[in-house]
Amino acid sequence: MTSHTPAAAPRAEWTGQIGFIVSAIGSAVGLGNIWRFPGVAYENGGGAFLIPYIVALLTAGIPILFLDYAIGHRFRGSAPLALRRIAGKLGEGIGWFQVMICIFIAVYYTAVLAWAASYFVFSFSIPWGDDATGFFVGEYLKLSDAPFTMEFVPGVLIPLVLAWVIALIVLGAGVVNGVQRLNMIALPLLVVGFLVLVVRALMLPGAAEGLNALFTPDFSALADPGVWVAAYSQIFFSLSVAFGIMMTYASYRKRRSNMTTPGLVVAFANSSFEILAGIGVFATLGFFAYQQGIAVSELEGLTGVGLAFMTFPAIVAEMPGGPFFGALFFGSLTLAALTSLISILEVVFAGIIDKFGISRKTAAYGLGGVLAVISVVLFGTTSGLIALDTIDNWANNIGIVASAVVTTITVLWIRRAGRELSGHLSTLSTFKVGRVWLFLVSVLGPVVLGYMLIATVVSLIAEPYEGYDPGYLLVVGWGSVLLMIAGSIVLTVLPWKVAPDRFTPWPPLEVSGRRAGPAATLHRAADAASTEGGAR
Amino acid sequence: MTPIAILFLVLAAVIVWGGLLVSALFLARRPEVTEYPAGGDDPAGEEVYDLPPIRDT
Repeated sequence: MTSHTPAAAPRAEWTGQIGFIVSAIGSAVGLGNIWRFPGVAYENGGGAFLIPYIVALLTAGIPILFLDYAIGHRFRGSAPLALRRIAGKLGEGIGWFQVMICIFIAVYYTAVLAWAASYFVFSFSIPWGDDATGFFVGEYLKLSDAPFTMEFVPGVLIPLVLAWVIALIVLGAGVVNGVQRLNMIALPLLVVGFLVLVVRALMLPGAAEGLNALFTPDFSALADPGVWVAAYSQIFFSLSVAFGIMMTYASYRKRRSNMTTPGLVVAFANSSFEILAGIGVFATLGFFAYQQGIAVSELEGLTGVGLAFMTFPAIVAEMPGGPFFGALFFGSLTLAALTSLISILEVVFAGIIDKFGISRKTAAYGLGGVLAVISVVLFGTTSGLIALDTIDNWANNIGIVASAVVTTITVLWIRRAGRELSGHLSTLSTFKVGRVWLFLVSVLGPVVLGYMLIATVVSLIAEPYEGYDPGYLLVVGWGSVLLMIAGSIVLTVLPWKVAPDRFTPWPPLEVSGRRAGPAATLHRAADAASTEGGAR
Repeated sequence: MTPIAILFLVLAAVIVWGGLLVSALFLARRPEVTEYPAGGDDPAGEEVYDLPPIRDT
């Protein structure tokens, strides 16, 4: 008689340290670095914002990044698998919640990628003339007042489909042949392209005024708790922590891998790009203010969609050599969005592959195809912008922050795995972590993030977000969070293809986090080699 | 640019870009710990797709 016993397949691995670092930076450097950081810094004390920003980087960003690395690497799995191995079914549920967040974000993030790619092409002809805002909402998006329509907009639909096709081909090709290869090409292109843009921006008249606006400190802002929350939020969202990405990427590292020092490189590289973006964006805004004969403080649309698709196109139209500058800006935006999108989708596919044992190609083309259809229906139509804005706000400010709070409490307070995780990092890494790290991730992190979460919930209940219809926000905003929770419960209940708990972590550690004795070491190491597996 | 704005631009560059430089140099000089615990050999060093289920007879 022949029986089939599903066995764990070898897990995919980066080719080395560089492949991992470049891919992790590619994930962290996204739209938020270019269109969010400069405006947030300017609105929250200018140069003085750098103080809470750096404090947040050192006390929350890097420590939580290390926590993600430790969980993903020690427990060798996507978010649901790694968290299942560390904290049972509760952990798995949190992991699937992170996957659900990524599903929601991927569905709208691809739309922004498609817009950026469209504007890269538009840069060569500047079809918006002197009305960039009217062109974006009118001619390009054909924005409707209705909350949901099925009127497709070909100009958005076609690049959106193309963006999905490219993303799914890259992900279907695998961790090394797809994800790593794309990042090895796209990240250097992004850095070089953006550096050229910054140099060009610094040579524009008015650039110095723009930099004055960004870097002149307003020290009174430091007394405002909102400024500190803004700094922690910026660091937190920018580093791609707490929603499965860094956990998944860390799980693809070889067991014998230095974890923390590459993490420092990734975190500082991400912030370095933000500073670079701040210089480039505000030098350009300084030129725009100079052209209009007004102060930078009188400009509108300094962050997000408004900055990228309304303010910058208007600047490009007025600038000598505008098409070249526009192509650099939107090309950078496209590359940054693409590498981040790939990492978001990788969380989804890795989770599905680990749990259901399907092939990567089936996950990418099957599940990815379904997500693509949802994305096209929601965001390829005339109602896309409002839905995007709403889901973005709830997925980030509620979903990711809640995920971070629940993860840290579950792993560090309920499961009490802090010493094991710090021992894992310190045993394998050249930059050691200890009690300070434990305090930051188990006390400071949950407190700050918990405060952010409560403040956001109170604010969203007190007044309708962006003045949108409360009924619409209830369905699309809070409904999205409810769907994420429902999806994570259903996915947790479904059976595993390969028993997830048949796993021995390596290296073997005592409860204190110290290395276990040699006998245990040899025995458990052999176990570990035979029981891992998952996303390939 | 005003002196205070230049000061904060320089401070940002030194701390953040300096942090990147220092961490990259630290990684280059000490890419790995001197000794790993026993075991930890990866079962496969390359990507594997569509592995068939093992047949027990």
